Amino acid sequence: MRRVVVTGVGVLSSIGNTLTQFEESLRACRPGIGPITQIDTSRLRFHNAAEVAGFEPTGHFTDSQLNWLDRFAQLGIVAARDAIADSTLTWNDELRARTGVITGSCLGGIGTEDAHYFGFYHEKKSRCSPTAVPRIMSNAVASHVAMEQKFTGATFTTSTACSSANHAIGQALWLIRQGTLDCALAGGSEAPISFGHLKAWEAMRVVAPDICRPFSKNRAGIILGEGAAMLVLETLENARARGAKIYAELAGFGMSADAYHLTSPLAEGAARAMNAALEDGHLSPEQINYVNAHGTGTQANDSTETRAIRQVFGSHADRLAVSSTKSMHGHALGAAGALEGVATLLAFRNNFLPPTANFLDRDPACDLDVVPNEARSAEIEAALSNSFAFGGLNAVLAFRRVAE
Amino acid sequence: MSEETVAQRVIRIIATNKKMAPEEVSPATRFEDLKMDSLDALNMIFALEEEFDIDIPNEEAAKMKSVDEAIHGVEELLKAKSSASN
Repeated sequence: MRRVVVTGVGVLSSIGNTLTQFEESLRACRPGIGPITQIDTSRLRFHNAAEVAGFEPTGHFTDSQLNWLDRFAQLGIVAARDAIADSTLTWNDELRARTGVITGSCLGGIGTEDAHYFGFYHEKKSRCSPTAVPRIMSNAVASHVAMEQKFTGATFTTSTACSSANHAIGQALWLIRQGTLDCALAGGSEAPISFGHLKAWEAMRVVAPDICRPFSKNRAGIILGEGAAMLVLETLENARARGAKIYAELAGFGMSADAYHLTSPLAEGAARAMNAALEDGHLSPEQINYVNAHGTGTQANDSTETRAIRQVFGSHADRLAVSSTKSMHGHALGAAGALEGVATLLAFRNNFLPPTANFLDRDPACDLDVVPNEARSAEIEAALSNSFAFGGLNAVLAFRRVAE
Repeated sequence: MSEETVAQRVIRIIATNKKMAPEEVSPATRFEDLKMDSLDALNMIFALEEEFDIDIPNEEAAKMKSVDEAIHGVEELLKAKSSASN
């Protein structure tokens, strides 16, 4: 069986627009959460988010390119460029033909969509830009990266709400493993800060008024995040042959549907996805040292996820480190699994456990070692990264340390 | 026809939300007895906001676990609204 490894990573988030900054923030337990700057929030009940800061689109794209790119696509394309550079892969026509781009996004170009609707409904405009449709489409990142890099293998986009990126990365793993692709760019991107969309989150009453405190007793909900992260996946054989640095093996992927409720999570569904990822990666629960939790900071998710982890790991759950990096980079929806995958890969490569920031009082319903408020040194052998979406669609990645 | 009271309007909204007859809902009815899940509750709070043109903050919404508590909560918010506009 072909084994698949991660040899390149790119990330843009509220806690850093480079891999180095992202890691420094995780290690320092420094959240990137603050007042929303992109829109006026005076008519919103919440005012904080985890926005990407200091991203200057004109530093990355020409004006004519930007005409075709919503912010979510800009972030995704730059993350892909950074991941490709980080991989130090040498490209030729043969490899490009067997490389695909598989991206996740929940919302696509919702900022563009919102602005156009405002123009039509409020400003009574009679026409909009002819680039609106390609800016809005959720597969914009996959298409632009393929065009820019001349990658012509299997390329598509998954949209499964908060699990989108993990579904994308998991599909990329399987396509390489089964021989359809030799290499893939996989990840997710999201730019959810538009007034109309934030009003929809307000109505769901799951956004915290101040900050995200996963697993704390008095947690008050999610903080929405922006960002993009992309991984370069290739075969272990190829990575070793070219002497590449290897972050970790992407060993397994598991998914499940709760078939239960649109918004209430089900522990059994999450547990089935974790078990499926372990089985797919030929890992036993006892081999896992770290779980990057879905850990949204809602009352329902964190207690349900704790129960699911206990179902899967039994008494080994007490020896696991489980943290939610959403406490720092926010909940980036369709990019969440990609950002959290990067956090997990950095943990492997540089031997630390990313913490759960903003932790206050323990909740008996979340009785796990959540690595509160301080990163820790540790050598991880294997890890899971969880994503559980509204609609009950669960996607879990399993990573394993592998010698270069 | 006499004008609906606040209590009657709240009961109408809740009954409509749960597709029940208003007579089946009384002030003493608890939402758990109506088998109201989290989405039903969200929809009911939204419908009350629309009906009375009020904003029900999360902490007020969390206190509404029965019809009586919903009526009381709405009355308080209406009072606050009318004193704010005076």
